[in-house]
Amino acid sequence: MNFLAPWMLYGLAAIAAPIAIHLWRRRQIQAIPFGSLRFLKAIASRTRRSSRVENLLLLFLRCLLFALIVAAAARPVMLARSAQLFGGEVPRTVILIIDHSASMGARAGGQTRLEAAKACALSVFDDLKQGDRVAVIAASDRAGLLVAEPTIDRDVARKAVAGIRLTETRGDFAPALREAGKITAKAERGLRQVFLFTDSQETGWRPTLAHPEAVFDLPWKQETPQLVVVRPDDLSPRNACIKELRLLSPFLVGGSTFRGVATVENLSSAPLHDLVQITIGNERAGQRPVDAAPGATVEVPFEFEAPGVEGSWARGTARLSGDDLPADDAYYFSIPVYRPPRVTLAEGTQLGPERLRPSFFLRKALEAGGAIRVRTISAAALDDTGLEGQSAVFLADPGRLSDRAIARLERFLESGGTVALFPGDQTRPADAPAFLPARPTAPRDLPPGRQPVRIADSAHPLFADAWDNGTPFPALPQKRLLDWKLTPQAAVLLTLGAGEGAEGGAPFLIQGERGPGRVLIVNASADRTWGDFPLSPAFLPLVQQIARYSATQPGRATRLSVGDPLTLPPNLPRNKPLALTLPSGEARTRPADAAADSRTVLLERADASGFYSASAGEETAIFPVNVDRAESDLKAAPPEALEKATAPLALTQLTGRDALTQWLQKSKGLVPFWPFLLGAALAVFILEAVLANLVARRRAQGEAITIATGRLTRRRTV
Amino acid sequence: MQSISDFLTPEGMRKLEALTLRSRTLVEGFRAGSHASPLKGASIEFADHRQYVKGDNLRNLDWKVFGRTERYFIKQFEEETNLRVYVMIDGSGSMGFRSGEHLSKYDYACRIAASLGYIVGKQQDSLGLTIYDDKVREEIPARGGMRHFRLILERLAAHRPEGRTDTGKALHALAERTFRRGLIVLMSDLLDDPEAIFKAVAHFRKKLHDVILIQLLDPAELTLPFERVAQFVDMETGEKLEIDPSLARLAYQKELQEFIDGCREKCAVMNVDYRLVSTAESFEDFIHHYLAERRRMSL
Repeated sequence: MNFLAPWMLYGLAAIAAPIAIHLWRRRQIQAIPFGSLRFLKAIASRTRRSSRVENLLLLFLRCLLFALIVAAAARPVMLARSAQLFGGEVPRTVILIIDHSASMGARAGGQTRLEAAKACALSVFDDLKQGDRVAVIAASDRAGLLVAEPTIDRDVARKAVAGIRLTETRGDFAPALREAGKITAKAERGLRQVFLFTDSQETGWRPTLAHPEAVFDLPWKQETPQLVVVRPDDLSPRNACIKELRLLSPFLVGGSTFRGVATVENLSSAPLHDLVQITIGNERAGQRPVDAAPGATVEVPFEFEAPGVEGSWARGTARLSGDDLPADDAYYFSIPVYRPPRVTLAEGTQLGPERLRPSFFLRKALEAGGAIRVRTISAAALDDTGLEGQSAVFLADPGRLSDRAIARLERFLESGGTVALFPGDQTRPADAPAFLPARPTAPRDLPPGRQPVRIADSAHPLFADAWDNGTPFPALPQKRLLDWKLTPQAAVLLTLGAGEGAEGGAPFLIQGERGPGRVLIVNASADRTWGDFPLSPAFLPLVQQIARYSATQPGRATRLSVGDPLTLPPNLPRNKPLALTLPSGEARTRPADAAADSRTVLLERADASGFYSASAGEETAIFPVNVDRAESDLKAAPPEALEKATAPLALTQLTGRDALTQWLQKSKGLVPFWPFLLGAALAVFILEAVLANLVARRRAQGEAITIATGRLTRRRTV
Repeated sequence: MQSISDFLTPEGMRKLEALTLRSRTLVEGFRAGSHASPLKGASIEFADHRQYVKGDNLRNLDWKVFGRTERYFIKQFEEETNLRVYVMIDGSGSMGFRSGEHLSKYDYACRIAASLGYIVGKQQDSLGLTIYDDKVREEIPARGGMRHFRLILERLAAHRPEGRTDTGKALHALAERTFRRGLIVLMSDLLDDPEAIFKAVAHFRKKLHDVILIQLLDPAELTLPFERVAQFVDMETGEKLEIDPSLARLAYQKELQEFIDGCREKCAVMNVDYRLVSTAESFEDFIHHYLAERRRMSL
């Protein structure tokens, strides 16, 4: 027998009430002194026995009455072979939850798991009886209420189930289960059943298992519906994914080498032998073999000649050949296409011969090769010079900058630009702008001779293709530098000298982030006042690397997953209308919004993987969106974990359609039993009343006799 | 010293002035009183003749008979003498039972005894007192006079009903000791061995005493008015019995009625005046009704 409201059984504790009253009354028995017990003893044995039997019988009937009422309130249902004999089955409210997250696209047994789940869900309709109502919820990372109000129109519900499509979203059953709880709370009286058709992926259950009380809240506890979790199968689909792709080349230059590392995870129980194919734009760039043991994660480096790509961004795809879950076989990425940097060179003084100015050597280095466009202004002209379209601002010993200039530079940094500072004699600690990643303290003279330079991060884009173990950074003929107090956000990329500082030298190249922008400090004067760095062979390549590095868009390596929102990138102008294109080709427009910033949402939710592009004016941004790799691990949650999380609900875990069919058969013929209990309670009530009345009447008969007193005995005659 | 006012009100005593207590059988007395005596002697009522023998009082010669028969005969008279009233009160523990505002059976018996004693004293008869339980606790010989009456009242007031009853044993002993015939007023609840009681009463009757048997019961003992299950405690033995009075009432009253009827029948056989009294009834009313009825029945 099952109970639809088992919590009512706690009311059985109320049976203690008549027992307690009975025992209390017995304790209240009064002691009465009496003249003689002679006559009482003569009749005691007869009356006491019957009195005790009557009292116990009345107590039993009263307890039984309580128990029957409480049991009826718990709404018991039981299987009955002939349901009609007992008035038919309990009307049901059935809620079907179908998981259509990305993992349900895994193929097992010749069909996707979603197709199998839908087939199982539709088989429930065959079991429905007249009066049963159905609601349908599609579960991904949120609950889609396809049929929110339980309906007796099964065609509507069937169509809703059949129309469920596979998504690329991650799975989270908590929202759907909460909605199911709300529906059961509003459902009409009767049996409530919640079916969850899912691959029962562990990652999908994680939020529920972490906080089950937040999911199985009050409506679940009050209505206690039956929860049936149906897995389509217990097979282990073959699956591997490209978990991550790391680009080593900061930008794409047609014809030059393009490098990166793909991280491949084998989530199958079989070894993986596959190829990682890299595509740039529409051209196949190359492929690399990958071999991974079951459960292993391997890194696959690649290096290809980059094809020519038009535009400011190139779209790339890394792809595996294919397995049972295609959704995670492709990894989308974007890489900026190289375009010549545009640099504004602001120098502190423009007096004296040109070759003695701080900007002289910088301009020469930047203009070498003709790939970089340079304009030179004074530091004071920063107040009024616009920096739009520039990729970097080089400050050559600018001295104290005005507040207006500092504000302009900060806006420039917020738009993704790069500021590179070369200090000099005019650099004062008190004049240092707040956006610098370090504070200058005092100048320091170095020992004579060349100072060794050590690269802290050889993988940094500044040093890529320039210096490595084979081509070390040359020692520099520096005589002086500034000591800097680093902020927590500062990163030291180069150190100069030995035996000083945490890295064994003084910071020579310091990088900081300011929003999407970058700030670089080169701890040397741009002229020869602090040493012959401008004449060293490292000067030109370092300056040009800084310029090229500034031309790359920071923050483009952000990893977006399906379901994430898209925010406005910093490089797009705010004063122009914006066009957003989805992977499906759908285009949306957005008017210009000068108040927009990097927190402005362009799209609430990316529903599909692929490339989303946003363009405003001449600027374009690409958003590669991938399927959340949490969906790649198809491992099911342990059954005992689900039992524990759903306790004390009645949970049934089934696998396959056959198991579901059998379970549906067994649960047929549920008959409401509480009417019979109520009838029995009524009969007990009447019996108790009759018995109590009989007892009372018997007791009232004791007053019928009056013993006459005062009559003098007639004497016999003497 | 107890006074009669402790037992009787002035109004009650005034009402008792008109009452008399007489024995219906011949009694022996040593003073000249109003009661018939089996002893033949100087009296105003002629009873019989006998031949004169030397030494007889010549005043009792019946000269009329001499005139007719010229023989000397002495008149014999029915000698009228005082009544000895022996009040015997059961002073056992059960007599201390009382319910509500009623007098206890013992106190009720004391007031009856006081009333009878007042009447007896007024009649210049003698009153004796015995209080017993399983043995005689108090015994005052029958005498007249107010001082003696006060003594009796004092002994009545001093006694506390307690102990177990053995009426038969006590009464048999009394019967042996009571030589002069008189009026025995026995007051008890008779909640004892009935066979022993009536054997003792028969003993008194055998000695030609006039016996009045007054059974005293409390209204609670008559009606068992209790409603809830209670534990009844015997006042003499301490025995306890838990019973539902509302269920036991009918059967109890039938048992009691059967017992009372038995007592009444046995008393009728022995020519004993039996009276069942409830302590709910005013003892003054009882005295009045009883003596009036007794007088009516003796006419």
